[in-house]
Amino acid sequence: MRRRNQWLLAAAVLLALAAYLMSRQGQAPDASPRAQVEFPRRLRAPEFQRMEKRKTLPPLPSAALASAQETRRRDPLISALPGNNGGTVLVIEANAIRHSPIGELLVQCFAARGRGDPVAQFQEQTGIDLLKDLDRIAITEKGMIVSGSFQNARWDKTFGEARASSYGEQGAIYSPAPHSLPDGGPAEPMMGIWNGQLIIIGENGDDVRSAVDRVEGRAPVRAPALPEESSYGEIYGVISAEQLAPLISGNDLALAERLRRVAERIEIHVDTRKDVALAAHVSGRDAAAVSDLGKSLGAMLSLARLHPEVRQNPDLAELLDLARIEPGDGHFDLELALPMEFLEKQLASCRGENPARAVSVP
Amino acid sequence: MMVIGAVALDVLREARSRRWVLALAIAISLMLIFLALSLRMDVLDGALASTRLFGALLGTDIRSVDVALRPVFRGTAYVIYYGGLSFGILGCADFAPTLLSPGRIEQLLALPIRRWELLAGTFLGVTALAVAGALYGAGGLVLLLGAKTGVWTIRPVLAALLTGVGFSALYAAMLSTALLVRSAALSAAVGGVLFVAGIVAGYRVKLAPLFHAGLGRSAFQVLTAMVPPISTLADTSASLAASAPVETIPLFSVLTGFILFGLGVLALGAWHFEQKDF
Repeated sequence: MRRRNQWLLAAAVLLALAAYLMSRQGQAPDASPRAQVEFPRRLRAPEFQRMEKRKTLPPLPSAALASAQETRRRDPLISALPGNNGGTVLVIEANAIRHSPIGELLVQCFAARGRGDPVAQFQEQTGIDLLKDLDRIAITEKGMIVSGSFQNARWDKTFGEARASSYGEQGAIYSPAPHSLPDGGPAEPMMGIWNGQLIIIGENGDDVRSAVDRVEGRAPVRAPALPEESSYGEIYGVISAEQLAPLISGNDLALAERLRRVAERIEIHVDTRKDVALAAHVSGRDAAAVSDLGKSLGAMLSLARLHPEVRQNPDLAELLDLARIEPGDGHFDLELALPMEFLEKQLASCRGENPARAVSVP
Repeated sequence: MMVIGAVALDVLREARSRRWVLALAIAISLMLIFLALSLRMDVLDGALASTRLFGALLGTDIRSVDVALRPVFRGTAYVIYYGGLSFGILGCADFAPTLLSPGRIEQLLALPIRRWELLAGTFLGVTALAVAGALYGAGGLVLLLGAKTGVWTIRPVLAALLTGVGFSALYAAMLSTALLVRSAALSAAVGGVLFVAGIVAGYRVKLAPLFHAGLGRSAFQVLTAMVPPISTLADTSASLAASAPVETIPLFSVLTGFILFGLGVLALGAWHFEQKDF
């Protein structure tokens, strides 16, 4: 009888211990990190609504129309961009990025590491609050266009002795005095303001005047550099291979040359709503050469993963795990991501150092 | 210990004649042969350039081959785990009732074997059978993909061992049930109920807020704490196979919990077995 009770006692103790240990378990990770990263692949509903809201300009006069598409209302910033000439056009959704997790983190870093408060100093000098007034920044090969709400800007104080003249219906051109560049070359930048909404910076007066003409409908309409359906993500646009090649030539000169020769259009989209995810679509006329380039890049990423230094660095290995090349007919897609956990780890020193400017993500 | 081993071997010998076990071995072998003949993987400089099944292209993205294989290992781990458990419940349900069948049990009890040794040997034999099946499937796949891609990893095999741990907890309850009522159907039913309850128990943290705070939620939490979290071990097994990070201490805690649950239920079975008249 005593032996039988020992079995019962052992069962009770073992089951109680088992229940304790099993109830302490948490949830296993659901899936690979890649599955949790959302890559920008198409125009999504909120981005379409954002795009439609920005169309505040009336349609172009019929004489300037190139297609039926131009009979719709227009977005001032997109209208100000030069037409498609194969060059670089990159739009940065500054306000959206500022309110994204990475934007919050960067603002904290910026405030923590700067001397004083550079944002407040800039506002003091110009009347522009970089964290609130800025909406988008478009970068082209010939200059930059910034959109936002600049009604409170103190242009006279900002431009100082620059010559000012009005242009068009709502434009103003400022001509700062010519000065020398660090490499010794002359610089004659011109700056234009349109209706308190756009700041246009160009290499010369013609660039700025042309942009104002495009906004006000006086310039002939050309194919847009950025089709409407490509305006998704927080950074989007096309980069010319000519401009991209020098950036990678330091690591692989042959690859840079191949990129320059083969890639005719490199369209990029960066999503920062949660993680930082980049999707690039590379296309060219020589389908076989583009496909080979894609395979070379894929192999390069794989080899990088096998490198001993990468194998010893879990963070770096994780980043390369998230890299992928998807070849297609005459094009290939490249996807890269920086998970927010990784960025938070890298920028951990910024957290908590200057919480005053931290604003919750809407 | 020798006696327990002898009983376990006897169970394994008997398993050879079972159709279910034979069917499982043939099914796993056919699956491996099918993959060996039909799957073609082109690896270039450590990158998986293309995968073809019967000549049809499966995905075209170029990725590091070990990264590209991770979803395959993850999926395989789930199939081996849930498939192995389901098969084990159905295929092994009548081992204990056969052992206890009139005529045979009297013959066994006449031998110099203690009752708990008979119980432990049967449990060990059936568990070894489940582990062997899981290792055969996972090991075969690892060898096959290793030969085709050059990626050699032991992780899917380790993941398959977790299937053995998961099944041992279920089979302990099935065996003890068979000692209580000599019925293969009831034994399988208990295994099935524990299997489903274990899947729910794995998500108890997420599911608990669905119950109203109070008695209902507390009862759910207490009941699910006593059931082996089958789905947690499945997810851990898949993460292990796919080279995803697995925290050691929680895994050790869950595994120990499964083993203690199995031993506890077996002790209950031994308690009943010791006082049963045949």
